[in-house]
Amino acid sequence: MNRLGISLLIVIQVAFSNFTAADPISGKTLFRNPEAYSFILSPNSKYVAGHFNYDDEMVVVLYDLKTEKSYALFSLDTEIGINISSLKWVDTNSLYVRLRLKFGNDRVGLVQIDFSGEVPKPQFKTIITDGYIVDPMPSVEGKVLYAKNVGRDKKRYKLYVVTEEQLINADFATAVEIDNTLTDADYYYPGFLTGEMIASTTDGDVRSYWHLSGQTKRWAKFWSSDNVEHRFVPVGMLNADTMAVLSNVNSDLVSLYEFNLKNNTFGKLLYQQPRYDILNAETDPVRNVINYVTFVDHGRIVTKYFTDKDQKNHRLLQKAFPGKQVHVVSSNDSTEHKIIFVFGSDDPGSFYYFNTKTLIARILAPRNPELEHYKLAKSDVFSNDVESGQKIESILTRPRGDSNGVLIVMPHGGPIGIRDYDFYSPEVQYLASRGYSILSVNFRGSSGFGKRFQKTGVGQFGKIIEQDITRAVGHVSEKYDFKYKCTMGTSYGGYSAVMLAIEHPLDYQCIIGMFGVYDLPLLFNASNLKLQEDYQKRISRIVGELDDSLKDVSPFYLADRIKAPLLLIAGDQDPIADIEQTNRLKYRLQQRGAKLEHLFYKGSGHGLQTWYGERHLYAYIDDFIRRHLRLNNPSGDNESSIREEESLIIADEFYSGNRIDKDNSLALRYYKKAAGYGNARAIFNVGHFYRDGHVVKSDPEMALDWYRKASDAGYSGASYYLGQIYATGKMSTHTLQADPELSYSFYQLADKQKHVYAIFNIAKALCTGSGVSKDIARCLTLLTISDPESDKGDFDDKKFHRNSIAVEILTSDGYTPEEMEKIKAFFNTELGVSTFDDKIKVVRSHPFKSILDGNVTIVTRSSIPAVRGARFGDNIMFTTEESDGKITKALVKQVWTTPAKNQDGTLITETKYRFIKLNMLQELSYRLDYDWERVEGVWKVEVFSLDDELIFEDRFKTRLK
Amino acid sequence: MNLFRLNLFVFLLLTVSGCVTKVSSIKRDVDAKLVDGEGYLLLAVDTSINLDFIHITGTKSARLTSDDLQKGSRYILIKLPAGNYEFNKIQLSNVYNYSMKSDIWRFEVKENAVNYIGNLMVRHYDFGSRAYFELINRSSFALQYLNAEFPNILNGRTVEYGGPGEDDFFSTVRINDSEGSK
Repeated sequence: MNRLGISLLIVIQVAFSNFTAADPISGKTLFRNPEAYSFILSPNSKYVAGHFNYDDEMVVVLYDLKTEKSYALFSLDTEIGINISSLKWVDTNSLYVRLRLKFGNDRVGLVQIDFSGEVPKPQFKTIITDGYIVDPMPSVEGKVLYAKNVGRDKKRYKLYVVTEEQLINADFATAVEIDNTLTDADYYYPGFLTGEMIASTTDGDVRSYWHLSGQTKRWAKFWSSDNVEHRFVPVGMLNADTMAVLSNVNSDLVSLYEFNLKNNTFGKLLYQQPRYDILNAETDPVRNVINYVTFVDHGRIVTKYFTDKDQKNHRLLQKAFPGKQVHVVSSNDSTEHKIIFVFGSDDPGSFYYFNTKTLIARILAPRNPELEHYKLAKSDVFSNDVESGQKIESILTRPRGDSNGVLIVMPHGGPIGIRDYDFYSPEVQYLASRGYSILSVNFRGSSGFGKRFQKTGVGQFGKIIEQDITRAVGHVSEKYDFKYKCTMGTSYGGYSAVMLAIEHPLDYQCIIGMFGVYDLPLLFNASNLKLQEDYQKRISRIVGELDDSLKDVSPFYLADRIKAPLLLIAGDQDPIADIEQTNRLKYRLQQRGAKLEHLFYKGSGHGLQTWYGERHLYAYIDDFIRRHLRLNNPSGDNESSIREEESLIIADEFYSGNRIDKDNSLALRYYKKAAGYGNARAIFNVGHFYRDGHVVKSDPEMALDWYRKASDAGYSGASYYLGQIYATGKMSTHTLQADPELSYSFYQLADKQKHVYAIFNIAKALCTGSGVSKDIARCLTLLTISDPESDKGDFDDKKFHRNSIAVEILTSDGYTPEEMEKIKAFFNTELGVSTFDDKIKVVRSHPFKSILDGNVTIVTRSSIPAVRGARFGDNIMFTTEESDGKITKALVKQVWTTPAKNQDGTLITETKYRFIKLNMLQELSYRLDYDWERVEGVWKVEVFSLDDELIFEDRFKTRLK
Repeated sequence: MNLFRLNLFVFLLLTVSGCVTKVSSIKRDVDAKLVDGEGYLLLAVDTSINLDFIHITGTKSARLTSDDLQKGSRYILIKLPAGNYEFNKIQLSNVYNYSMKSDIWRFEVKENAVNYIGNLMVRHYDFGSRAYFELINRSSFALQYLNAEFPNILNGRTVEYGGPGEDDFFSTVRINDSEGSK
């Protein structure tokens, strides 16, 4: 065995599984970001920069290949919505970083690393100039080729060769400007010969390619096409007049050609794969040879090398990683150092450093370390004939453990120019780990098989595409025995899932259509903007021309042929398959009394934007299939914990109504299911239904019973709530017998169960002597928040809650003057309130400029439009004689009396204590947020001292237009 | 300004203001009989900013007022004489207004029918003048709304798609409805 084999064997042994093959995998484990994102080799091949993404932070690590030590260069808190969108070396000491911010513009900079000490020292320097690095020019130390945006409304770039310092200082005056920058270039291709440049421009459908000759110093257009079927990708210069391009202009398959820049014609064919489009290629302009080409063969990315040395290395790697796909993701020309990525359908992948001289591959990081504990299902790719010698390829993933007898046929989206791969897929692994088999088919219309293959699928909705899928289903059905078949897909896949079940009603027992299109004519009339010619043309290129025949292949018009239970999923912000597509099919099926369920996700576009959403969606899909096919739960040691987790996530969403429509009946069903597995929060939430009389008859005793069970099961929230109920004698609208002693004991239990706020309620009981002997000193000790770092919960929330309880304590009765002095002293030292007894008065006040939807509108007290978002009130300065003009804190009571009425005819009021700063203008405002507030009338604001003495009063009048 | 010009100005002012009728959405499901030649128009407005008015022109000029055009999403049902119309102008609650000059903003009201013309989406960005308008076809949601809120007005009337382009949704589900009642 060679050294490479030995080193990799060690890695593989480390990765052995803790779980059995039959264990279902939790959605939490599968639906998450990979931990390792990318690794790039420094130009001197001494270091590797790695980009990691942990739960709460993103880290860029520098890895020293010689010492095998690693150093964190910088980290970012992902909770603030920041992401690394680009990371590349510009020279041996500097990394270019582009940070994408959720709110605001990208932040770009250079991380300059000082290697002079024992530990590399990074320094982040911001680049303020709008633009991008075209070519880091690794061969020229300290300089980059930079495209600087000089346009205003539209991006226009000028090219400069700049030093790093010039870039950081935005000093382009002293930088070298490249003559004759191509205006409107949307992309400059890096890595061509010195002095040569290739760029592209786009004008509508017309894409043009330009060459800057090193000799003439002029840009010349050498290729242009508006044919969307044409591929034309410059790869690299072969000599001064000849370039290598990937193109399908003169062939069915995308192949590697020579292209002569003198007469703008294609030259000889350099390489063509017999069956597949070439995806990518690299040439060596010095040696005038092809280094490699890549293509997708049976769903797997294949790299074909052209030199003996590369071929030998690749064979060794393939031998060391049997059954895996191996790719070089970072390397330096003609050096032995490579970063490789090894992955497969049953492996999300790992990054390795590979030395072609020593033949040792050393693992850098697995992409998803948590999955190392599981054995994933491996796919099998097969091809079968469809007609007249035409073959299609399909991917079948079967469970490693017991099969549940269900084949899920999963057509891909598109359908034109999209395809499926033999890669790791969290969705497929989720289903396979639960016993399902999954089939995906690269039907005609899919990409990677040539122009003819792709074009054959155009306008074949409900026709040859579904025929191809049906052939593939027939093929696997001959080989394996499936008791049930379901269809499931997204976008076009959603359409196809429903059409397959329409065309073969006896073959499919359930259907899941996600973000799909079901009324094809509606694609042409989804909105008035989509009636415009360009959009209509784009749709026609996929669906075919708009005419009545589209109704013959539209599920909306064929709804009476849908027999199997159907789950429809859509996003209400979907810009591609508008939710109207799904809703009209739902409407029609409801008319026909079909077995139908739906999940309409709020705020979602063409798919779900969060991993949490995916977890919810797949939990529901699995539940949907099991209910309708009456399947047993999958076996496995962790099965009940996964069922508990998934029942809870389904229940939470039906209960909150935040992401999908609220449905109390379904929420209760799933909470009870999770409660059955012993989930304490689910037990607690079941109590709410009996408390509120939702779905079940209102029954306070039953509610209390569920709350107690949840408390017994260790749920601190239940114990805390029971403490509140017995303290106040109120449970929502129900009045119960208050029991201070019982309340106190529940607060104590909640605190023991680590409830963050319970300690403050215990404090209040001690201050007021409610349910426990009065102990002011201990009460005030418990109210003191010492070290925010050691807090169990969020510091600000905790402080806010503590302050509210402190005010409740202060405004309670029954204190001796000495006790009250102690409480006031606490307010002074802990909350900064120094004024209690001094007479507060108003120095000045005036209504402020009312703000309507972000636009300042000057209003008077008497003419405020009663519209949502309107905010009105006063700016007030309070003072006391004793404050001597100093800014100090005081506490007052603020009461707003609205013109809106309660059911009993009384006016609705809002009372709250608030901390104010003396001798400083304070805003005292009301904002109209709810419909009930949009009324005409007088709004009165009153401010009282703690002794209930009126300090200030004002009135505002709203009007309805 | 000479007397002729002043008279002309006053005449034009009277003419313009006399033609534009302020209309408010129907709130109660009472089927007050339509005048001959009238139909109902159903429009949904989904706006990220309060609007002052939407001006529509055609067989009659009408102005939807700010009462029905608050930030948020809501349906507006009004009566109009049957005929062809178009969105003419949209005034935001700030200083900006937008003229809609294109065929894609045309719609039709048929006599004695409820004519759904689309969901008007208005998005206003930042504090500048940039705004986005689109009339989205959400016929099935409109029908659900009408069934729930205006069964009396719906009774004995057809719902038609009157927005730009063509759509057979209403006629298709109508056929199914009548099949279902057989």
